[in-house]
Amino acid sequence: MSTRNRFSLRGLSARGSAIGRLVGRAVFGDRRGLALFLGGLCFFGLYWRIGVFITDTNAIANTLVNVADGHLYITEAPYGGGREAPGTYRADGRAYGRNYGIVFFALPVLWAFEALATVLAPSVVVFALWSLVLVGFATTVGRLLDRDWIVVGGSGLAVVAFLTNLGVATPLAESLYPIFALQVVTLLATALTGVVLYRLVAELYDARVGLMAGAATVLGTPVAFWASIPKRHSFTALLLVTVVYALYRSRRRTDHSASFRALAYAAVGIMAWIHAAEALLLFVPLVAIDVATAPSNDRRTLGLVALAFLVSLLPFFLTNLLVSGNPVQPPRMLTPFDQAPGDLDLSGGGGGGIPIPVVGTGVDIALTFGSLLWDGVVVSVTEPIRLYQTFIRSGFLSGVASGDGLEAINLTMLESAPLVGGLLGIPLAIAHSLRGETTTRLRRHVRTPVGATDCYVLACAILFSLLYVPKLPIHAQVTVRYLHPLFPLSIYALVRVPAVRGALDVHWPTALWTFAGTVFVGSQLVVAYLGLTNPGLGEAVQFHALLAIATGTLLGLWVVARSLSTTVPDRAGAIALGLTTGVGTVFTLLSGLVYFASAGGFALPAMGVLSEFLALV
Amino acid sequence: MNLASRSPLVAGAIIVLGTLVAAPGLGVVDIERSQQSTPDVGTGNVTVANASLPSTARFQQGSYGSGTYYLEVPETEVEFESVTGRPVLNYKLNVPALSYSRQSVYFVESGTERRTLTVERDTFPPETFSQTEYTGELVLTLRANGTERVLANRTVTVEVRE
Repeated sequence: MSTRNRFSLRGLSARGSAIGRLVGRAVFGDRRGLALFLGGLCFFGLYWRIGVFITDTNAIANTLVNVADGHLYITEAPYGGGREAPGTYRADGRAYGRNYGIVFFALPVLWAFEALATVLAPSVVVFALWSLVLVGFATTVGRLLDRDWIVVGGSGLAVVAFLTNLGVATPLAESLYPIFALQVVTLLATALTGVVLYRLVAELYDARVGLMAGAATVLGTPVAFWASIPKRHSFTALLLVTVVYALYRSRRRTDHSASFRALAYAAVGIMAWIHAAEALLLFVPLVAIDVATAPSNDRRTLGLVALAFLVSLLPFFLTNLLVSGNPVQPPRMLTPFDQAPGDLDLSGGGGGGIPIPVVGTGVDIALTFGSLLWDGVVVSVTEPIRLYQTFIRSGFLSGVASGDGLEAINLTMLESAPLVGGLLGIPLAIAHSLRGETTTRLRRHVRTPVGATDCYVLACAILFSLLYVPKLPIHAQVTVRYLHPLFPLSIYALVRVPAVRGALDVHWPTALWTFAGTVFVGSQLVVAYLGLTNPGLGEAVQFHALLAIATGTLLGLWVVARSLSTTVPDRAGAIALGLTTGVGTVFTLLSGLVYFASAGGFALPAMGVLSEFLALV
Repeated sequence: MNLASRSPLVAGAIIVLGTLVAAPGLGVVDIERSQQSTPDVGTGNVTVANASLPSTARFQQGSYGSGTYYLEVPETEVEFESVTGRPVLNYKLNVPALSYSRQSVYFVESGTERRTLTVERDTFPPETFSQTEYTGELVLTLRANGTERVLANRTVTVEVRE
């Protein structure tokens, strides 16, 4: 090889790494964001089962198989109940799937994996990739903290993990490749959700609180539970926090303000490709708050924003055009495939949707949207028990459990994420910051960047709740997945409470140690206790529910007390925060490894061996 | 270059190399579990040395507010004098008053000396039970060579417990 050639190669690799750095900075922000991303992936990998957890996945996987074949309609349906599986629709006599956005994101992953599988053992590729991510995570963290032993130890651990997994590896069936591809994009989206929240909170306060917020989201909330399950909810969570982040950045008077504004709308456009009705949910409050609080609404900015939105909507329009012939009629608006034509079910097959017609005139949409919200208000007022059973305590609800083999496995928001208990302090925090001249302060607050962000978060939380509450509680939720995006929003709301930030500012090591203790020791105590009492599935899940309510209440009480009095110790709050996050993590880990372990073969075969050893229920 | 900057590269190289070596084409690492040839399921015979089936079982309501009643049949250990072929054991609970029947199936390999059996947990809605206990029957049967033979049976009292 001549010297000249080597130089040009080096030049090429330099340019490559410069582009890599640029993309890396755009996506992760900094090395902390990257560490959070890789760490999240490593964590999700521990309980990742390659298989179908929820029947809705069958239709998406069938769609992917057919899209990979080069057409949007479904001819070949290897998964579930064939073309009649919930989540397929009829247009022009053909069957179509839904969530085409997710399907198209998974397509390159499927191709790459199929290519690798022609020469390599696919099951080995899966845990080799996980081990490489672990090497990346350890290296990033070690360099961030300037601790060589983390780099060396993590690298060693990755090799040991790889060899251990290799020792107990089993083959991966070819029929699971499409499931694997869908799971990979879901894992990436979930890990990114933490990163975006980190970046938002880091911009608002500092990197440490940001990291804790991001980590709490991906470790201690159901965001982790659904990390490898290809449902739209993980994507809705990611795109919603992206809108929140972009909205916040766009309110600050910088050079990039217009670009961030465009990003907010682009995220909504991509959401439409995945789930049009939820895109509308993100869109309505965005337009209202954005236009009212934008630094400037000049023609150039609006042009850029409109262009970005239109471009991001193109895949949505194009897919609809090919499916239904109408660019604004998404698959969910079509007749479910197993029903006779004309028998229009707007609620969406698989019990998965909100009946918002995205088709029609603006007035029609507004009227339907309004009446659905009104339904939510009516149900909330006339049947407040539903709110209680959705947010606070589930227990055995015969109507719900009958859809889950009579097991009480559908938790409330508090039960599935005890951190949510801290929101008990929100009303006080608001009242506290508004002391005196309420309206003027409120008006002034809304005009600040963080005020606009607060408004958007609150509006989205209310909209999601009102639209889904008439359907809740319902089976096959486990963690109120219809309200999934509310979990990262809750973490945002939690760090907005001054008492919480105050406790973490000083006592963050206490919070981290409590978290570690809860996860490493607490999980063993739970396993030991449940091992002795030999519970049924519903019992085990409800045991976690009670743990969550107890710890979440503790956190809530502390936030209220600390907001009222400065004599309440901050350290107690740090402990409560670590404890609640840890209790959430333990539930996710044990539900993946034990309670719902049968959702497929483990991506890390060694964890499968551990799972068999732990088999409690 | 110190250890810390070199170890990620070394680890990465080992993992990539390991993946290449494990490629099926090379045949170095065999991750396909070799299936040893076994006799067909449902053939052969067993003679039981000792099978003491439990005399009580429970319909136990789940704790922690989980509501559901679970069928809980205590485990029992069956000792075999001999096992040949690959017979199938059916362990079954009948509760006539509830028109209820449930069985768990066990495959036994030749040479097995003892096996722990139970009727798998089942769920019942709380409104199922009108009595405080039910009389049922536990039956252990052998299915082999197309015939079924009762190995052991016992009348069992199934208590309903909150």
